[in-house]
Amino acid sequence: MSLVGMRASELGVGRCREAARLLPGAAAGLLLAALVAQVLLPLYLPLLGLLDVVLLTVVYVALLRRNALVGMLFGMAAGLAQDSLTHGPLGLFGIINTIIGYSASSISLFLEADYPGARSVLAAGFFLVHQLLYWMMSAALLGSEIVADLPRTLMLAAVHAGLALLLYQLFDRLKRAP
Amino acid sequence: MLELFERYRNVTALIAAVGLQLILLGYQVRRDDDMTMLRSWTVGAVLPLERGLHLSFDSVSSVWRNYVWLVGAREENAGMRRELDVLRLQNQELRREMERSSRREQLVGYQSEIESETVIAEVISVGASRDSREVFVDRGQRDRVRPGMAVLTPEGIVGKVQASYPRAALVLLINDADAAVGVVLGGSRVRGVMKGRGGVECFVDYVSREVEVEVGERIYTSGDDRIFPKGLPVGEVVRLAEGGAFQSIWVRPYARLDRLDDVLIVSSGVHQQLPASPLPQTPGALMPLPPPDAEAFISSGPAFPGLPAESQLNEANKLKRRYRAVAEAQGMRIGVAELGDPAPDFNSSPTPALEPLPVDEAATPAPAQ
Repeated sequence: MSLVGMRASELGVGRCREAARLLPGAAAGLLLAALVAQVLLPLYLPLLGLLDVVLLTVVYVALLRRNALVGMLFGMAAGLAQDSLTHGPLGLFGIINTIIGYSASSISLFLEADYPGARSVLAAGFFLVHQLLYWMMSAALLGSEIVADLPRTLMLAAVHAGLALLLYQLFDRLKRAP
Repeated sequence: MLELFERYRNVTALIAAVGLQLILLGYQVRRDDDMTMLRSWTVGAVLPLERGLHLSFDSVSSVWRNYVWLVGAREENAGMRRELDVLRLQNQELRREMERSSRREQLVGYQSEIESETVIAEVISVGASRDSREVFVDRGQRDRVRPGMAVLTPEGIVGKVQASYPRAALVLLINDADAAVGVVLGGSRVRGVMKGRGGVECFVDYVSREVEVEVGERIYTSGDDRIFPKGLPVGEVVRLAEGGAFQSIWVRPYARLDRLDDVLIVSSGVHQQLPASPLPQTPGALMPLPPPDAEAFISSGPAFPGLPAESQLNEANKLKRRYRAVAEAQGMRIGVAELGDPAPDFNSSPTPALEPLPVDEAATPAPAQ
């Protein structure tokens, strides 16, 4: 078997850093809480509508589980649920979050993503990827007109990095004891 | 083959997942099928929780204001201070209640004022996408709310119902990038299409550059989209920009789209008249009145001397003469009125009765002997 074809656990990566697990039902609970926060909080403070809590949750679970399939499936579920709460067709956020979940899980095999700083930077990076994919897919698949505001997007990425720093500390309390 | 699949298992799964969703997406776009069942499940799972939290927040904050905070006040202050704090809190509570009831009262007043049948709904949450402008309201299929119904406030229109679920409905706001509304400019009565841009302001398209538009001009619904009844206030022009073939008109909606509380859903719309134009567009240059030759017949006498003048009038001139008499009987003169003057009532009969035109006796030929 070639080196490319070997799984991460066979390369020894998985042995160095065991994949953490959440308490039973915690991932589903986190997703539900993220969806509720996404639709409820902007009602009280409209500025919070600029945040994508669902994306941050997908990145957290994917980085934590270090399993591309789990990350992908979680991303897909989160994205389709998010699609259901919008007026757009189902699948737009589904595809984006599937790719984000898969990528985050794959990256966590090769990067030490347990440090708060690293997770925060990754969250900002994935926010930018998410936005880029959203623009591309909206234009390519739905024919929507794209209004790309790059400075605003970069600023929002920094805000998401800060939010990830706080949220992920909170989410870590739901980890299962080793 | 199996080894190959095993080697690229994750990538294959990713491609399959993305591919399936692409097919799902393509199916919806092509068939215009909204996959209502999946949406209903998600809305059914999220909204009750959200509604519960919404009520819990209100209850907790109410308990905190009315009990916990009072206990703290009692410990810290005595006598008049405590009473003052209680009164202040009660005052705040009453003010809030008053504002809420005033808003609701305003809404109910507006509801009875407009001819369209409406249902009052409360905004309970916003949509899940950062890039969309949409809200959920607490009325749905059980209240006979259907997709395509217009949503408005006394200030102006808000959006349209995009999807309806048993106990909630999703409303697409007019400033969403996918929203468009048929509008008419208040001054010139020229029609256009207002599109959302995702921000606070909206954009009116398809208005010719020759139309004179002014900042501050009011915009109303035209009814052309068959969603919003005609004549509802939309917003006012805030700026104009140089565009291409059409004018670039930016409009700020009257409705506070970022602070929606209670709204009206139009269950049965009735078009209404546009209000009188606050900015009448008078022509830049008015031509002078035509010279009096057109009226030479009546003013200078019959063309064929000798014959009775009355018999030489054609039907048009007879009618014209009658209308002139009617106007003069009402103290007005045709052709000299200013813009804005009331028009004569041509249905009333002229008084006094029309006198026959004089016969030009000097020019009358002698009867044949």
